[in-house]
Amino acid sequence: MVTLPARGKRDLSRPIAVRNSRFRATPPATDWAALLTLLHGRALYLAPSALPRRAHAKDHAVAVELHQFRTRLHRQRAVLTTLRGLAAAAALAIILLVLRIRGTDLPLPTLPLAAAAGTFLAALCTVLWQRPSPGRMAHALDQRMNLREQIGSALEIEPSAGRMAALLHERAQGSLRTANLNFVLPWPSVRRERNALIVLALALVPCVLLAYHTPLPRHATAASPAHVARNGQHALARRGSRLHLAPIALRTLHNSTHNPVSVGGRHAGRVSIGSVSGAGRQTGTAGRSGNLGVRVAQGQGRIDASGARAGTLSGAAPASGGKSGLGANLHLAPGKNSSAGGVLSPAQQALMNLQSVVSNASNGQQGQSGSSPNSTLSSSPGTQGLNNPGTGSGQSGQGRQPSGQFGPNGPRGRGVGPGQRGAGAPYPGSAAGAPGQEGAAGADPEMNRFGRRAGGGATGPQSAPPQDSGNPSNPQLGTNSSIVLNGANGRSSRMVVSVGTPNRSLGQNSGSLYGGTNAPQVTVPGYVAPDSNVVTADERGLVQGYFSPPSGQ
Amino acid sequence: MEAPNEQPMTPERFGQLATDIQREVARSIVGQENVVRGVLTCLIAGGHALLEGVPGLGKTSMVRAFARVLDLKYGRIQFTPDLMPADVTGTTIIAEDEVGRRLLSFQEGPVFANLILADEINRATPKTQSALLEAMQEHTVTVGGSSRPLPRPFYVLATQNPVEMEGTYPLPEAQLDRFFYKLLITYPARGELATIVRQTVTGAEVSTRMVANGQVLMEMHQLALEVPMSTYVLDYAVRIILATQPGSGEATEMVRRYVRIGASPRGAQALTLAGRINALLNGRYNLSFDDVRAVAHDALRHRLTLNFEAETQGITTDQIIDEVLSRVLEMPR
Repeated sequence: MVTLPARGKRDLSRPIAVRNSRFRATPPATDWAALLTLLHGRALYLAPSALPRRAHAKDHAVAVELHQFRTRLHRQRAVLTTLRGLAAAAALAIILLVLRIRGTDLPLPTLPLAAAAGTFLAALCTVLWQRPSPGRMAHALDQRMNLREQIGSALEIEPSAGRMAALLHERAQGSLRTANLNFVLPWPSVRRERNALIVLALALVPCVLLAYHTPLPRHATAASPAHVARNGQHALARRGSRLHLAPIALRTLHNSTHNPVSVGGRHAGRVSIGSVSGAGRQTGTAGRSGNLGVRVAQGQGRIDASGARAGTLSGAAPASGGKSGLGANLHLAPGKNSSAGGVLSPAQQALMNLQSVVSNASNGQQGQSGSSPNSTLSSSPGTQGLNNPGTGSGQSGQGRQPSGQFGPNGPRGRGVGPGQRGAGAPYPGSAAGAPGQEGAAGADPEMNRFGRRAGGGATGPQSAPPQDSGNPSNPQLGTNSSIVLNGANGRSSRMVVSVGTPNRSLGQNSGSLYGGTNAPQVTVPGYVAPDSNVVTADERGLVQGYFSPPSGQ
Repeated sequence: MEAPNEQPMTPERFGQLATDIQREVARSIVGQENVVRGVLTCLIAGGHALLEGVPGLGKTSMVRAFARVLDLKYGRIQFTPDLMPADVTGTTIIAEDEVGRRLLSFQEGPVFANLILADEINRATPKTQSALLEAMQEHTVTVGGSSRPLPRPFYVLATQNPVEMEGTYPLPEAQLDRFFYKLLITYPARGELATIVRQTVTGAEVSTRMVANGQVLMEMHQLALEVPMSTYVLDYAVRIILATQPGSGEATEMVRRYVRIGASPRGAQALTLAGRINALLNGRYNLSFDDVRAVAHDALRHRLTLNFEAETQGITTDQIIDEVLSRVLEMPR
């Protein structure tokens, strides 16, 4: 007797590859929608449907029967996506917070929170966008209930197409009515979602703690965590103060009544310029100096063209100081990334910079200091240029000729030396600014580790040499001079050395301007003060030694 | 016997009839369920089948069993190298009427039957083989300038021996393409062989009863045509056909390398119609991917012409079809 194959039984005589071909309908790797399985899981993934989106009427009987399945699947997706979105958001936030703790400069202080919120919102939007279509739902039910395209075919074919079509519809509706929702679309078990739950649990608590206690980058880099803890400042309060830094800096610029130039303040370096210009305004024409003032006077935009913010500052400084003839401003351009990580701590780095500055100034090697951090000192040539006109020429010849094209003798003139320029320029401020421009123009394209390109060697040969080399004398700082550290100027922390009593704007704690009238200022790149006017003995000694006139002069 | 037109053809009756037919044929043919099912599918589809197997496997017995069970007029043509087309289609002869007048009258050949067994069809010359072309496709025979319709339904079940190739004439592609199915008959299994021996050597005659007739078969055919077929399943079948054509962009690697001629549109027709019949046989009302895959080998294996490289490497069309089925996705990306 022959055994006939049972109805509905799969034909096992076919090769395995053929029998298993149903499982080839797994989502392809290139399907973008398949990526969403990361959010709602593979169990809730529906394979793409070849059915057009409007393959059926709204009141299609099968489509109506499919509604409950679609709704259920949508809810399941919503729950899982929300859960996994939360976990992803928490994980992302904690990663960003850890990065911030480690000193990574985040573009926004609220980036961790924003990223987490964005991730979560994206997940929610995905839920709304990923409402299963009837076609996909029909295909999924066909596969899960082993209906062999019964629902999909019934959804596409009108019951009026023939008696077989009517029978198909009837059977499809019966299948949908008798389907066990819990069997076809079971709720994902907690065990399956344990990974997401674990991530969420592990990430949420540290995330909150980190968000509450994470110091701002400058604090994190300027002081050890212990120091930060010692300060006892609340993270939110710090954040608030930080948020106020930039406006304060900008106000500082605007408060400079003699400085009509509105410096962008995009980076802290420009804020320093403002400070410089504030000092320079004492000299009259230098009031228009500063960053933009130099440009106007020289008709050269190369200061800004130098690209590096430090270079811009460098160019500005001499302009203001040059006219004043006071030589009061010695600007060490702050680099944007001065507080970025390095082997040395920022404070140590700043101190090293200062030591290098003094050393180079004493040795008259600023021209060679292009690649060294201390070359930033040379970026303030104007001041010294006036004070020591002839000293810079030698350095300018040290391979920095290209920069001479922006020399003071003309926009395209070949500079022979900052000192000469300073002296011979019809507009001292301009002349003084020229070296800065030159320095900027001739800047080494390679930024130094602090990102101070212009301060880095461009200006070195031209500007710095003069004053510094011949600057055993900066007699403005005497024993009665006060050294004020202002390290809270955002990213461009600086140390300001003031003569006399520093003026400090009320209510503007660390971001305020310093320096009294005619006060010399020193900005140490990379120095991040611990938010207080504290200077170590070493630093004080260095600065005082630098500014104190040598015995021979 | 089921009286035709007594009841309307429904899927349930369709399934019951199919089961009865297979059961009755199985009384004569032990085993070979897939072949019996394939032949039944051919008959329901109104197509012709090419049975290939070594001698002694019951090919002729199977055809005769179907003829009995379905109450079809049976005609047998033993193809030999000296067989002439007129021996198949018939010829015009001079005959005398009652009054002694001589008249030209057409003497119908064996092709004028419902079920033709073209035994060892590859032994006849291509000229004689081609005599069946018109009959298989048009269901007519043209002799002496006049066309004569063949009785409906008309089925040709041809057999051929795959091993004795000397003195044979392989069927041309045009004729192969006209076969709805090509079924491979394999050796019976151990238990089946024992049953065959037990049934045949005892002298007991196996009686089969008539289950249906030609009219019922045509009703079943009509019902199969009404089976819904969704566009995406149809698209799947079409892509399978395209994948067998070496010149198409859908061709698979093996097809490009080993296939000289791919499946024709007639293959797509056979694929979908056989799939729908397979769905009805399985009690379903729609064509599914599985139906297409289930009938792909029988419907396509004789429509692929392999090149010399494939023959030298022993590649078979079934391997090509396996590769095609494994490559073509149900839902295109």
